[in-house]
Amino acid sequence: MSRSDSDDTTALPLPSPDVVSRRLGDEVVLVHLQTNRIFALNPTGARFWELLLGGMSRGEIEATLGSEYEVPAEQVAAEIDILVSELRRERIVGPGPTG
Amino acid sequence: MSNDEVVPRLELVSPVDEEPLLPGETESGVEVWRGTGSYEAYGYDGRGYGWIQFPGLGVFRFRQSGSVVAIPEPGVSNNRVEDQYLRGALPLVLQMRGHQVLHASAVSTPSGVLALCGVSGAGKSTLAHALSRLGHSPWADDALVFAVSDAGVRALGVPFEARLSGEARLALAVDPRESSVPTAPERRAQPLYAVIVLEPAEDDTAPLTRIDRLAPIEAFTALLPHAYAYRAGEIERNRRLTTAYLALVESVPVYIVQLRRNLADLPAAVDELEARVIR
Repeated sequence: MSRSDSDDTTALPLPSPDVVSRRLGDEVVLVHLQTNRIFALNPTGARFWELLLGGMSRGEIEATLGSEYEVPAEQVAAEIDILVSELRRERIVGPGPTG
Repeated sequence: MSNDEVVPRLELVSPVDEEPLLPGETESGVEVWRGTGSYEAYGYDGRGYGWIQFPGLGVFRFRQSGSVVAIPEPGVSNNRVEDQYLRGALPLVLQMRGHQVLHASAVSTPSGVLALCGVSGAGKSTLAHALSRLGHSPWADDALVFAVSDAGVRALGVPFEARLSGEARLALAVDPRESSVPTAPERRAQPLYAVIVLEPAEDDTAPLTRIDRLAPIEAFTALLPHAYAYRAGEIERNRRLTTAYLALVESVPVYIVQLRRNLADLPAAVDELEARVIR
């Protein structure tokens, strides 16, 4: 993993307490209770979200997703960066570090 | 849970005996609900109560538990107040108290309660009445109360008053002497079997009936506009509502049904609906 130096639980922002989420089939629905905006995460994003909720560190999430989806570590890291950036923009996650 | 536990008792109080709190006199925010025609209501907090005002009729005040007090405007009959309580105030009070309320008519089928929601004028009451003629007893006319638990999603029976438009009464050959009177479902609660979101067909050349089952996420966004929400800006109330509707769409099938507006087509459409959804 390219980010092994920052593999700790503070390396990813925490889910906002103002967000309700639920898995519906392959996807996870996220509802922001302040903005009333609704988002659907695709299967990969849904898995990321569940691992984040489970308290995994960035390194653990990257390793899990890379193993489950058989994707190179660099690709997993890049996709997480994009997803976290989008989630942060919509205030689905807090403004914490991305690692 | 019995009906008595769900439905608060209504007490009527003269404005001489109690001065109502009006929207302009509260320091809380005022939520405005607008329906079809002249329907309008205001919700606000003050004096330790929640309040709902229906201009021209009166105000209702309530707390998290206990009875609901109505203070009618001078000259307004008790019958009008009781009717507005069942149709307008009660759903909001129940939502405020932690139940969820869908703007829907409903009938009881052998499989459970079938809800029919849609915008005003979509044909909810008409379709419910047509289904009741096939033996599915009326369950709700304008507001379906439901609760979510580990046991699933259950529709709660509360009193209601069915109303049909004049056009629908003619098409369904309803006896004009048949008055609309408050009704209470025979059972206190039943599983919610399915929800139908009614949409008008685009034109008379559209298929008689179009029935599509929605994916859960589509169902969630289709149902939310039909949810009663008392002071939806309050985040914990919004959280309960959101959580309940996500649970509903996960376990209860939701269909989009398009019907032609022509009431002459209704009997055939009802037959098709019964064959494909109710079974």
